[in-house]
Amino acid sequence: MALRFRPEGVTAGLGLVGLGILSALSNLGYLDLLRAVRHSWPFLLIVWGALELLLTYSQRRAS
Amino acid sequence: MRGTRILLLLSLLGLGSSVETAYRLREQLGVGPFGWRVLGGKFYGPSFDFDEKAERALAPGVAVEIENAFGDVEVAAGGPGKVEIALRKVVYLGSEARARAFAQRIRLEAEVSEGRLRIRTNRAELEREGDAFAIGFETHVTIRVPPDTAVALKGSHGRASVEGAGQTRIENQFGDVRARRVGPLTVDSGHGDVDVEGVTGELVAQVRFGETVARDVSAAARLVSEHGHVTTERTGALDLQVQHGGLKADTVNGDLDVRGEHSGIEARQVHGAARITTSFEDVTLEDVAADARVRVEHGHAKCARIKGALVAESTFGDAELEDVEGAVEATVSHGGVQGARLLGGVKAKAEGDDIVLDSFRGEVTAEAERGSVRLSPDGALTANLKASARFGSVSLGVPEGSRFAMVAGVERGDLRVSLPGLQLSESSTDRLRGRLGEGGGTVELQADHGDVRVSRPGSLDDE
Repeated sequence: MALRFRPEGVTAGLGLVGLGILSALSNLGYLDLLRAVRHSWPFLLIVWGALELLLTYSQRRAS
Repeated sequence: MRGTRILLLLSLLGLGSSVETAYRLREQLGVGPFGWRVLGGKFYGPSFDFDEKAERALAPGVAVEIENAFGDVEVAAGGPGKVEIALRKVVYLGSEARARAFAQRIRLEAEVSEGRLRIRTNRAELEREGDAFAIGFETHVTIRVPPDTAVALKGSHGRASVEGAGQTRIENQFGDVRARRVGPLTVDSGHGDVDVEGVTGELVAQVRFGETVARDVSAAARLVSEHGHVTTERTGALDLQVQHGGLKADTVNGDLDVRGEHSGIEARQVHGAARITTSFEDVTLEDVAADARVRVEHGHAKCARIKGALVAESTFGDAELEDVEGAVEATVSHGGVQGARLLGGVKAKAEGDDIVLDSFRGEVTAEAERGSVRLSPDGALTANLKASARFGSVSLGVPEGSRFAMVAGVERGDLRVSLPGLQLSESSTDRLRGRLGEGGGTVELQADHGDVRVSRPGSLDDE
């Protein structure tokens, strides 16, 4: 059975969750928000790409 | 690719580039307190402080010379016979270990040469070396010198402060200058404010871009300010050249000489003569103990309480003159003359507006072009008076007890004379000759394209 989800939706959701967590940690004084976002934002591209690969692989197996 | 994917991709890339830009720019925008923290410079990012102290013996009479760049210099009076030096090094490098290693290469140099103690760092030597040139480092120097030691300070990109020294010379670029309780003082400032207080001796200052404040200068002050306002309080004789700024002077114990351009001038309590020229701003001069001369182009001249003679000239602005004990000579082009309580006689000439003189004494000559003349003497009129107007009227209020011979004439105007006791020897519609009382001077009134009115003072107001 093929997986059914929209990678861009998941990526956007993860981005928002991540941004919220980083902002909260920054407000609590655990990290520098700007530095943390600068270091972590490329992971969203990686996650998105991985989800696209996973979806494509799943659909090929199902067909 | 669907639209939402394109939108998300652009959003992520936009987020990344925005964050990257913000990270690179943060704490680098703005010029910083001393003006050298500019975008892309070497004085940003993490920095670490390291302190170094030194002490040198100083024989009496030996001067101290300090040279520093990229850092503040503070000189203050300390104990006798020695100089205490504290150097704070601020190194802009990413790790404390690297910063410490670099700071150890920054040396404080203090040695006596040519009869003076020279204090400096090896910045020039370091900056000649390849790696040090790209590293930002500040050197802040605090020095305690024996009281009244002669000090020469040369700095740039930092504040310069001297307190409790003797003869002092401060040359500073890109930073504020401050001096308190020093001997004769010379200041050469490029970009920064100059604040001086308590100078025993002469003050000579040249300030190119910045405000200047000088208080309590025991001797003469000679100032040049090119782009900034000057404030002085309780100085000796003041000689100022100011451009694109202004002067506010209070209590000048000597003569006041101001040569201004595009500068407003306000001066009060001048215990000598005052000579002021400026342009495109106004002049206010009050409480002068001797003669005064004011010349303003494109501005008003306001002078009050002048003990000596006053010469006031203005263009495109009025001359307002009050309480002058000496002779007054006022010449105004494109403006009028308003005078009150001018007691030493008046010569007034105005083009473009009225001449109004209230409560004056002595001889008066008033000549108005495209304006009227209105005269009200202080007490009986017995001195010579000559007033004329073209394209304006002449009005004279004559108090009780006045004595004079009068000649009045008009061209293309009315001649109205209402003086009880005036004995007429000639009278027509446009010319009148007569005498009031015995003796006194001569009153000559002439109007061209205007009226001549002579009556008791209250009657003029009624008209």
